[in-house]
Amino acid sequence: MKGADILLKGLLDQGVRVLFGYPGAATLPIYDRMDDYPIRHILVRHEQAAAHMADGYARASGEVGVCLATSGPGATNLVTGIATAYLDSSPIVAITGQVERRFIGTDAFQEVDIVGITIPITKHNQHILTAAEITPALKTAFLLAKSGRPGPVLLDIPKDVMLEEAEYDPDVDVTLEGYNPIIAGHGGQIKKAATLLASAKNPVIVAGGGVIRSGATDQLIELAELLGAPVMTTLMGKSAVPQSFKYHLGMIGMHGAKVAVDTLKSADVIFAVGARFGDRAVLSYEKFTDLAKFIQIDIDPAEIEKTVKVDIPIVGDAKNVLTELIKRLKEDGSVTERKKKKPVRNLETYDSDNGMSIPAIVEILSEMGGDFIVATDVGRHQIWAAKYYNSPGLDRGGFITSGGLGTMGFGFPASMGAKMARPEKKVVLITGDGSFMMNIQELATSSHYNIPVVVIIMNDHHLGMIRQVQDIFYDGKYMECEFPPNVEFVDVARGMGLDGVKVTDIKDVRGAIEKGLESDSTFVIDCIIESQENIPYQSYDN
Amino acid sequence: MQKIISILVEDKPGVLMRIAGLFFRRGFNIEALSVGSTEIPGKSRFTITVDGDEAVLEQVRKQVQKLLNVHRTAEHDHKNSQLREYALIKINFSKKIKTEVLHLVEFFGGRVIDIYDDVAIIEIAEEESRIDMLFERLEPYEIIESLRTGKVSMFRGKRSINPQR
Ligand SMILES: Cc1ncc(C[n+]2csc(CCOP(=O)(O)OP(=O)(O)O)c2C)c(N)n1
Repeated sequence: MKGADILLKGLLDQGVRVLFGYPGAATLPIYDRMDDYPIRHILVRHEQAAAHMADGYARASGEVGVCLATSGPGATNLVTGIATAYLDSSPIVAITGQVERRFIGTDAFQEVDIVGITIPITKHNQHILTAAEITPALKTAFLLAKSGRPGPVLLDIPKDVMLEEAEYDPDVDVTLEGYNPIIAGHGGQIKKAATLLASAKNPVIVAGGGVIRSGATDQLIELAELLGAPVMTTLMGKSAVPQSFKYHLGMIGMHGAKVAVDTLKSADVIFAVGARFGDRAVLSYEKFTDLAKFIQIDIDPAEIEKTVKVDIPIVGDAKNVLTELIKRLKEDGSVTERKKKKPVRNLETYDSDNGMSIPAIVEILSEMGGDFIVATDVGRHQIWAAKYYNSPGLDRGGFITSGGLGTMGFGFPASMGAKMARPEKKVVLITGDGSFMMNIQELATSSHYNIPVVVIIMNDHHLGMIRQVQDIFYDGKYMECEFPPNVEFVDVARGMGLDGVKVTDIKDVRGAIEKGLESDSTFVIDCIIESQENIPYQSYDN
Repeated sequence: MQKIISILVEDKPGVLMRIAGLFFRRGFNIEALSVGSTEIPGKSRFTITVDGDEAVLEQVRKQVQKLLNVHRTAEHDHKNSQLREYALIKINFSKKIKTEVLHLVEFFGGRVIDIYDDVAIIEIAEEESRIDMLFERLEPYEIIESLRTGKVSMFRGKRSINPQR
């Protein structure tokens, strides 16, 4: 069997049914064999979008997303998407073509050391040198991408290896010495955590993206109820707990909810579950560590105490550890008293003046209360969506955003990936005019394959977040953050075979979104909004 | 704070780059690095000497441990390990000074391994501080060329980095 067939068969055996890619000379041997396999290929219009689609697919389904690019420029175009997946622990496998083995190291046409380039942004990567290596490499890649702390893996395959003959042995063994993710938490540590939580007066739970990755929502809810403890999330943890959950207080961090940050300040025990205490979430490491005693669960030992001193670290899978912890607390029985306390519940809402503002539009979307997946790009709209989007339907990974890297241009392709993964769900993208423009070419892909997404553009004719930062930290000196109103997004959509509507009055927003949700192809809603309003900053100073 | 870390790795191309990259990215200067094969087929061992704050060094060690090709890491100190360095010193060995140089070298536990054209090559495998001292004492005798390998280290007693042991 040819290397290309081994690869495609291997992908099929891993359960892959869709590839996001863009061909080139170095990957043509794979494309040449593709029609013999029941794998759908989505021809994107830019490789970066292929990586983001694979990522969106992975976030929405929990399965591995796969993208494919040619050598050289195709491979480097994946880099931003791979880094985005790396920072948010999203399981993707990227396959890149490489020049023929005899040309490697000669600066041949379209040769680039993509393995070297992606070492710091992949969980693992590998340059494959013979067709016989493809199967073990692929198995390893999938195992690594989805187990332990998930993340991107890249495989680089020379063109002639795709043409080389070898045996396909699906049962080849890939035991990975030195890779043993710790799933069960240490019993002694769990016991200590239970004792501390049981004696705490004001414990709080901070849920991060790890809760979603491990599927620990039910356990988190049970624990919060048992302890009578408020739950707050990081940006990545936003959909870890349903918005309707009675102990849910909203988001912590720089742009978090005031009530969440205040509650955190008065806590005596902070219990972080699958949250890595990133700088945006923590605001000030010095103040943060003064606040309370810390318990942290993380599947990645390197995340423990990376930034914040932890009193009780527990390495393990959130779902496993929480299950054990709940069992202990129940046996112990001493937490029942506090449970009688009334849950604090004070979700942030926006005082709308009926103008066309991002928060007002996000609130309208929340009120519509659909059971859909909401994705965002990066900017003011992202933060407001995270703060105010409060649909009761939103849970278990239904909020998809680029938290770690903050990648503009992520939202639209990621939405399309999410739609491919969960075709039964409506997918709504909240984006900015700057961000949407960064991968606007994918409207053509959406129309080509009919992958419907409701696109809500918060069009302030500005790089709004940049404008805000210049407003607050650069004395209002606005430099290069304004776009002339020279783009008619609805016309662009029409030019790519899709439809949409431009909205200038808040009264028309709801109708436009309804129309979008009813449409069976991508529908672009160009909301012309104000550009002045700033998102408040939170701090731990009193 | 100086730390000596042993890392047992798969002997594969690119492993050095992955490990060195992690140190580089977190702003550590690797003071010394030595790599060589071990008693286990297909496995090499790195010894890295690095300077930095305790907590951040611990973080680097955890990050290194995450690399797929890394099978074990361990930390050495004077109490738990024998720490050694190897040096080669090429020195003026003319008649006048020969006896003095020879005397010094023997005192510090080194030996002459080559003599050619009134020039000697000295080797020494000793603790870093003893090698420092030898260099200091040889200074007046015209050192022509020298090199040091940086530290290597092995646990005392039965403890081993080999996971099979
Ligand atoms: C690829 C990329 N380039 C630059 C930035 C820096 N940046 C962060 S927010 C922002 C402005 C976003 O503007 P827009 O998408 O219009 O959203 P708004 O803030 O107006 O809601 C920029 C330029 C980024 N996050 N990503």
